[in-house]
Amino acid sequence: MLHLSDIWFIAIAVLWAGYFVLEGFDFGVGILLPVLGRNNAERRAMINTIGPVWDGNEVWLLTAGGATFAAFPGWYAAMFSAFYLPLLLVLVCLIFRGVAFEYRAKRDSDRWRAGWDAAIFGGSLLPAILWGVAFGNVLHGIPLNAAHNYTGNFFSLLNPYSLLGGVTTLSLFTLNGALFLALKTTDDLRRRANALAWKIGLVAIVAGAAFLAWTGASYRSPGHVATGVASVLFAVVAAGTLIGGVLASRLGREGWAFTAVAVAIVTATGSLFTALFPDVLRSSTSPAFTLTVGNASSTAKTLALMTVVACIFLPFVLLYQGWTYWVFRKRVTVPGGTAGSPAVPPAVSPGGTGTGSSDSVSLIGPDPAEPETAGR
Amino acid sequence: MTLYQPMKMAAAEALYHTAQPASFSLFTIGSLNGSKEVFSVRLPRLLSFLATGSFGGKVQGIDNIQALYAQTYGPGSYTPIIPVTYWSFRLMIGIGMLSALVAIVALWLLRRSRLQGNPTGISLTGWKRRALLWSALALPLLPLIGISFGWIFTEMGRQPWLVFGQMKTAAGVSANSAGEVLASMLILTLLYGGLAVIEVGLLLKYARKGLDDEPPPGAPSDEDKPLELVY
Repeated sequence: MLHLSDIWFIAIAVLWAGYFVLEGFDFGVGILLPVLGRNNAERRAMINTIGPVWDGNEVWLLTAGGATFAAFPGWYAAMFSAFYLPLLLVLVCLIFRGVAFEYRAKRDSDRWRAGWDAAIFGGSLLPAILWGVAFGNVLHGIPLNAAHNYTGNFFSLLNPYSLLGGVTTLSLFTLNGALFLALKTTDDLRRRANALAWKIGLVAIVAGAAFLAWTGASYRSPGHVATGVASVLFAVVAAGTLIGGVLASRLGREGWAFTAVAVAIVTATGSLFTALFPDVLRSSTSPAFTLTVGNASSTAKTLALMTVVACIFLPFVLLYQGWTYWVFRKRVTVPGGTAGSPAVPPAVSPGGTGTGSSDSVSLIGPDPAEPETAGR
Repeated sequence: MTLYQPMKMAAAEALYHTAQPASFSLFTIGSLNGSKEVFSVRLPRLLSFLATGSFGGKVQGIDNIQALYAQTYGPGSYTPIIPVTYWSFRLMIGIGMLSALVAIVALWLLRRSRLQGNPTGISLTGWKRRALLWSALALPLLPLIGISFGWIFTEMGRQPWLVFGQMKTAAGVSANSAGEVLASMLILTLLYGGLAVIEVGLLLKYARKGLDDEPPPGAPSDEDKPLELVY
């Protein structure tokens, strides 16, 4: 029988999956900023692809954390206290990254911009790794005593399985970012994003396959056959769509590539959560100290109230976030223009991508940092 | 507050003994450890009215409530830090009223005139103009300060409870080491401090730059209009 606590476990899994897809490409674009953005104009264009949407994407993290807090207070308390320093690090990175987006253009100085670019790069790279490490540790198990308090230190979180998880999320997010850039930019930047996506994709496939295989082999909850099988199925779908997505990118089908990799990230997260069920935070000290859906959840009354509220508001949230993406669906062109290079790599099929260059836009408008000389 | 957290009410007014009717303290100086008052300027009967709605109402005092709680909840101190609670309450109310006053003065100054010259209105000059400009600076900041004191009052006045009557703050503390928590406090303080310096610098830069002469761009309404890079 499906209890409310199980439903909320699924809801939290969905929220984390959504977060990894959406913030994934934000992190990816940030990580690729010094790689693909060779000058200020290109970097501006890259930031503007995620400019309108990065904030809404980060909200999925808050919702996932909030749902964890409300539906599974025991899980929230144990996990966030155990991961205190890593989460502090993530928080500082996210603050730096967010401020960098806004402040970068406010002064017309190369040093100023370079500093904030570094903040965006570091603030995207570190969380991308740390989320994988965190979830690896949730599955691997952390030293929890009988009171569900963490008895390890920062370095006990750095075990091989978690580190592989970190590499997996890093490569998946960077791939996601490259494919998003391929969808949202024009001309030379688009061409180079496509070329890079192929290389990143290979790394992502290797890391992802290894991580998912290791999860399936060692980290499924014993005694729960249905969710264990589901976990393996999710992993297979994830691997398949990931490979398909990378191939589609190579063939120049940008829209399909991005969709496939997004599905891969969602199903990979699903695989992790179904492998975890019914535990929510495993204790490596003793299985008796493990937090499960049963002993970490709120009362039925709380969960019932939360379900009602979620059912009312979730459609609205999804609607307006989707609307934001629709409003800003145009491609972004690098100011100054580098027209002339083909937009997709030579191996493109004659059908081309679904989005032609007819809906690309050229840039007008002054750099916001340039001081107004008229009228002074 | 009087009904659900009487200790907070008593502490806010530094009312040490139950009084009926109770007087409102305009200004109280207590002993250094907050255990009794030394000097007080009070308005009679006003606290009864504010707390209970009638001028003859009973308001419980700190010492009386402390004794009651020691009986109900076990031995220990159930008194918050009185000087902090008392003064943060006053500052919250005072600064709140000050902001309201500044807003009213600003509105009154603008009743027939504008700040800049215009063909039909009277321009403000001299002290009125300066008053209006300074009020524009004060009005965003004063409520922020007042609210901060309000939060300090709320949280400090509820101590030692985390959830009143149910859980004490000491019982709700996580198992993180003091070093971790100190590190996080330091990091966040430095981070926000640094960002505040940068932000004020940027605010000053753009304030000095003045207004743009060109009108702000409207939302692009058709497909052919180019999209501005905002970031």
